[in-house]
Amino acid sequence: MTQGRTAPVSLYSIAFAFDGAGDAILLRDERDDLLVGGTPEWTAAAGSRALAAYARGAKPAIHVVLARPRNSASPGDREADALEGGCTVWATGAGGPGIEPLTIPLQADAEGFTPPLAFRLERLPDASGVLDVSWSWRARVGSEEFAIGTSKHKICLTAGRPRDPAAWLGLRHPERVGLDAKGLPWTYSRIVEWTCEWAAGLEDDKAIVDAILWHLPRSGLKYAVHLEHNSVREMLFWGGGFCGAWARMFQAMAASQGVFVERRSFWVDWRLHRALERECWCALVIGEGGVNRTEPNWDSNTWHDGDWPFDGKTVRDFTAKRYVFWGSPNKLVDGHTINVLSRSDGSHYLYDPSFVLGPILLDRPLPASDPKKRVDVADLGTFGTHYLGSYEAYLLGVLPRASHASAGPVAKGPAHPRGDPLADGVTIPAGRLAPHRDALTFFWT
Amino acid sequence: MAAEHDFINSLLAPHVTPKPVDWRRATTAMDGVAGTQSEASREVLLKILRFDGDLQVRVIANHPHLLTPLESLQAQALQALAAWGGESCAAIEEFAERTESETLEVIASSCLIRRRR
Repeated sequence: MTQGRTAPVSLYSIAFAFDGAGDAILLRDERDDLLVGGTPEWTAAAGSRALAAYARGAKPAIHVVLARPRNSASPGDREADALEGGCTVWATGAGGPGIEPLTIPLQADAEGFTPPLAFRLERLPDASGVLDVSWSWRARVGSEEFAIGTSKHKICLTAGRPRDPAAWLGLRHPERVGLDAKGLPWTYSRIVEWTCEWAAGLEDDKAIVDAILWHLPRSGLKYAVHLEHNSVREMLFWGGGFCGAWARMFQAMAASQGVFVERRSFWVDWRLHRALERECWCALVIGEGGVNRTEPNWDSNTWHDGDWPFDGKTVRDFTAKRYVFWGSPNKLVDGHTINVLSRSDGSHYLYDPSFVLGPILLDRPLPASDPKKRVDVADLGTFGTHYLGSYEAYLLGVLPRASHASAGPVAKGPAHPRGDPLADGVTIPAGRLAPHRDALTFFWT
Repeated sequence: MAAEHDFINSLLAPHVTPKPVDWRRATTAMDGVAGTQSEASREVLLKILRFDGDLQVRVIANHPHLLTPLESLQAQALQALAAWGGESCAAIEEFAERTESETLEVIASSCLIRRRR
């Protein structure tokens, strides 16, 4: 190492996702929704301002700009250096691979900067994860070697190339709102950082999605945060969302590792129940708090919990906070959204990111999307018995009830079919309804 | 009924500060509007479909979960208008073409398919 002499160049900036970088995963920052590769991710002045991401095993190129020291050489000296055969620059890596040597002519512009120089990384590990890599940059001119700078970077390695964001954006025309990246897939930086850490070293689709589900609380995002658009970006910004947003977020997380999960919704079917001669069900009621909540953050209500078949008498009055997903008679108004992973072996797994439930093996595919087709949950196998039965989910209806003190006949008929479901309604555990034909129906999209 | 029309219109109006709303009230008001096949109701429903912007409301109770508040109003308006047929179908068709929401597009399309049958 040469001591006492000024290095011929110093490190100025490093760009990973530069325009034309084929290997780099395009990332956006949710704060401005811009692609982070628009300017170099690392500069000598500010250090690392953004992470970089690649699929595991990549051997990518980066763009590096070097600067000539301001006090060392006049333009004439620089030309002289160039004539001497240039300079070889490389970096050794700690915490990850280094940078392969590149011999460059020591040519700089009038301000003393080289053009962006295409260096190539040594091959990245063939396993997903997050690398905190430190590069010690060296330059050799003739027989003299110089330390020219150190740079630190966070590099995320995904299991596979991210998938097109169209699915999780939930938009029919992403390009109309500036979220198309010349047809290239992209994701948000925070999402790829989370999923690379949570699913580190995993390759199997289901193992990746399972790991993402189980680590969701570590994101800090919460269930039951009110949003205007249910978008992934809004969710990152405001720190959570309801099921419509969570299901998109879960899709985005899986997509960042190259895995596709579907988003499916089941809608409350508020209708006249033939046997009961009452309109039910009015709402889906959930007693779980959801991600990063110990209980629902809604007001308490006194509930009348019953069993199924409902005898009209046996209810347990219970005051608790619960979420209420209201339906509307004969219309699709609200319900719940979940995710499904379909594997190449024909198996299907249900995930409910809102309540961190899953994976639940479905013994048959979920119904096709049809807002007009009422589907009996008794026909949906493990969706009803294993999913609806796995958490505190109820259906709320104004069911015919005898008075509490009476053992007399149960009143039937549409005396007050709409009633006040919150005051008069009975909540029946969804898992108890699920196996009974014509007890519980949903619409599916 | 006028009160329900006024309430829904107030949700679509600009506000200096977001209007606090119990969303259950919005849903029941929409049930009322949808259940009355008057010209006034049809105008309200069409206004919801043509609304372009952000609702200036702050939901303080019974927040819709699956849809956003605006999507919730539009989903209900689509299904109500589908029952009326005629010019309403043209409005649904135009909405289906224009909406960015996949979910609303599915609901709008199913309303149109049902009418055509």
